[in-house]
Amino acid sequence: MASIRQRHTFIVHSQFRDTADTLDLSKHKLTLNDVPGTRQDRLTVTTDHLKERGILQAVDNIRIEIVSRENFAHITPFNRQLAWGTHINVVPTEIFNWNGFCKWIQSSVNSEIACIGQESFIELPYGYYLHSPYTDSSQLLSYIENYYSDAKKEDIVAEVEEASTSSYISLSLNKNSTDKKTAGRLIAEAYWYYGRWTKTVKAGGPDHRVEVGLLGKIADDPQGELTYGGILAVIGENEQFVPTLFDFSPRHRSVYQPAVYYPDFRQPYGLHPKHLTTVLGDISPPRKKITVLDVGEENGEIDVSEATTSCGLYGYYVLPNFIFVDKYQVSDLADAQAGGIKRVVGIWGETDLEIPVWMVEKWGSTMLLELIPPEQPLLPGIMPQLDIEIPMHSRYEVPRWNTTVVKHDMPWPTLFWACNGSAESDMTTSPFDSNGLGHEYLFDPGTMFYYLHPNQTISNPANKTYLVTNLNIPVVPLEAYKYVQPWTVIVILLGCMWIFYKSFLGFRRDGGIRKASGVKPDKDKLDKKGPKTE
Amino acid sequence: MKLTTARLLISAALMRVAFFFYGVYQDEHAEIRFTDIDYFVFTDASKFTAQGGTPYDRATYRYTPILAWLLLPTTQYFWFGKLLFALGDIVAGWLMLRIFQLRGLSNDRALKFASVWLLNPMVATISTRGSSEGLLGAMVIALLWAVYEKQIVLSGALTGYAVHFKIYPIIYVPSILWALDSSPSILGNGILRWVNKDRIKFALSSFITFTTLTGAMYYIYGHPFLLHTYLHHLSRSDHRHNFSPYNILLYISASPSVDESPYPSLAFIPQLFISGIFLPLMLAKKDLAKTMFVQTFAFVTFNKVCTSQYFMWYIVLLPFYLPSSAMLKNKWLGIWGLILWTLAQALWLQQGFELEYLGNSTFFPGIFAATLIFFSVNIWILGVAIEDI
Repeated sequence: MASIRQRHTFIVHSQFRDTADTLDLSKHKLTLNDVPGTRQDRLTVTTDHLKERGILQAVDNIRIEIVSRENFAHITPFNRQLAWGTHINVVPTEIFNWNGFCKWIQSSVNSEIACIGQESFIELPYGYYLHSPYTDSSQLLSYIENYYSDAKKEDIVAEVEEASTSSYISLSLNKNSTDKKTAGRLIAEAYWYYGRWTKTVKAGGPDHRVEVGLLGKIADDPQGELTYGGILAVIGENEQFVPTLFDFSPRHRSVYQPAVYYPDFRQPYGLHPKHLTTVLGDISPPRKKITVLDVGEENGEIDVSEATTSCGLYGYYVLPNFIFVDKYQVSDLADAQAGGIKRVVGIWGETDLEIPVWMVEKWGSTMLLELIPPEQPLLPGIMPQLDIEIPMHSRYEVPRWNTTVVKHDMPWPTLFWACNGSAESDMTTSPFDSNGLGHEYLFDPGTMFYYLHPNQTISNPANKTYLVTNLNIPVVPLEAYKYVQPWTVIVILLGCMWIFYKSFLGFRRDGGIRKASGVKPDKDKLDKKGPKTE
Repeated sequence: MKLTTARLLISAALMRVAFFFYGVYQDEHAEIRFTDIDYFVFTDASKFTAQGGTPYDRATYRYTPILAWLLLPTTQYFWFGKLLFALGDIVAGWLMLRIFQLRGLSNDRALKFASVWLLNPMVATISTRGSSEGLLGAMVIALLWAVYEKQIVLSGALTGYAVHFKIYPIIYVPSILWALDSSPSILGNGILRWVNKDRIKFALSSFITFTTLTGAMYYIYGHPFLLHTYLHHLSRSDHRHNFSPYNILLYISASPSVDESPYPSLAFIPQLFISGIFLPLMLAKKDLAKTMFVQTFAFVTFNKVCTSQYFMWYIVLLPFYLPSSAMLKNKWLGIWGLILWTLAQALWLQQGFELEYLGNSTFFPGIFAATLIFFSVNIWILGVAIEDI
């Protein structure tokens, strides 16, 4: 078994798999010439080759993902969606040095990530999670490169460096995975949704296997499996491409119907923005309920049972700490089945209702909601629009110079159907899915996900970023402090002096110290004889 | 129709019933709820307590557990709490009338001035929205009534109870102690003559009541009780916008943008000195009830945080100040006082609305100026009242 496995997968149109113009395979290398398509690179290192040191020794399961903010699509079979930014998911061992972990994150992932210790992470049912808006991958790629200290290093370094142009990078290690293909292996993955690929892939060595696949989708059963076929070559072993055909049941798919969504805040908004996500199109469940007929063996009677396939519509919100939800408020909405919310599956992280942003230790919070899909189609294939309205609240921001507003970026929520496996589908995992930590772990194993399409046409093409909702938080400008300080003190002091002055006037009027006890009611008795007031 | 005690109390009760039903309607049908968020905090806390937990399981519950206990019936009858608070209003009004009687005010005038509390729509709204201020008002009037009835031990116990509930009634302790002149000294002559029987009774009963209640709650609920009920109020950084003149100053100085400043601690000094030492010493012997009014008014005006619920703390004592007030003798003084007090709030509310619902940064100069203007109006009114006593 090779200890390093390097795999390049290109999803290309069949014409590019046949011609000799674009592909040149020899004993030592493969050259691609201007091949357009989707690409995934995968570098797997087995644990015996793994330089298990530091952090990787101290964790049971870890996954670090960097998702680009630039516009990209999720091409089948790479349909899994998550928010932009850096995601760090970890299941630590019993005794874990959180402080050291944060230092490692800042040196090996991105120095800009705010991380102090365990208090920076939020605890999810499956482990700890930290999200950061930064997307620079250069430090993480250096870290991955440093795992190879033998002569092969230069080749691998070149491959890893290319990933800096990718749309998505993942590094994961799962020591307890039940999947033999991934357990205990450090897996680095990079995904480019599109490119015109001109590159040379060199052969590896005795413990370094290099594979290249050029594949296309042959069949796609929305209720069942995907079938992919094409050509494969192990560089250094195959001097000719080997045809291949295989099928698998993917965990993650995009919905087949045109269901799109677009979130924004209701305008105008103040400190309590209402987050409204509009879902349009065919919002029907991706898998039909199957009725199973069973003929009883003993009595020959026919049992009709509902199948186990059922789907729920979910929204997963990533909320950085400048914004939060009031869990009582959202629960009330779920109780009333209002705002499109069927139930609150969970709200994790910092949910304090009062503190300002500078007193929050965690990076933020996440929320998983089950939503209420519309029932009746308006027209064939068109459902009524679904409006998901979540009342949110912004935290008070840090006053700063020269501005009265702090502009923030918030990721779009991920909307998906989660369907539990039907009796007959075999959950063979996709060879393209590293099955690392993520929102899938909030569901039962065997759950299949169908992601709705974020409506990118509304996003801002000029900025080249997408899936971003802007949130402006009003703030006091720091210039005000030089007025606020003295004027507050002056007014307070003047107020005190006025009080003393008026007390003195009353004191003097009454001739100094009066002996009248406060308990004998003589002052009000005087009122009876005094002038009438009303 | 002649105003009688019975008619006044019944009208006050009917008014609250009407507001209550209106509140139920608004809760069901309108976008903005009538019931205050605090009511849900209290009832949730009661629910958690009934289920075997603690009231502190409910985030933002910052009161004594006794309140959650008192509201345990809300687990069966959700609106019980509002009933209790509205009843508190009425009891406060009734005891107010008893105090007026002891002070020798004519019944007619007493009823009129008590209406300032009993028939006040602002007061009725606050209780029927589910804020506990009405209950507190009843406690404060009760402890004052006990002093006038010469039930000193009872008064001390009620004071201890009130301080356990809300901390601020501690400012009444110096006033009452100072005012209790009339009983014989037990420590001979000279400066120690000041220590008389009544003062000892009051000090002991309030101290014992407070420590017993607080000790019992600590024994049952431990550190969370101390933290949420008391420590929170001492160390809270009320950076969110409110009426206090310190609001913007504390917002900026609490943030990491500026170095640590002494303002949060310094702000206690004028407040505690004026409301807890100066005013009691100057005025308590002249008129205890009026002193308590100006003390409370000063306490709220100089507080680091001020929301409209706090006004209830002094409005419950306002009827005692009014009978001989310069603001009634000089009609225009009174009218202007009320107008300016209301306008200053309206100014703040407008700036607050811009911020909270439209997202405009009105912190400076808007809210800052509005808080200082409101503070100034309050100081002016306070000055008039102090001179009056």
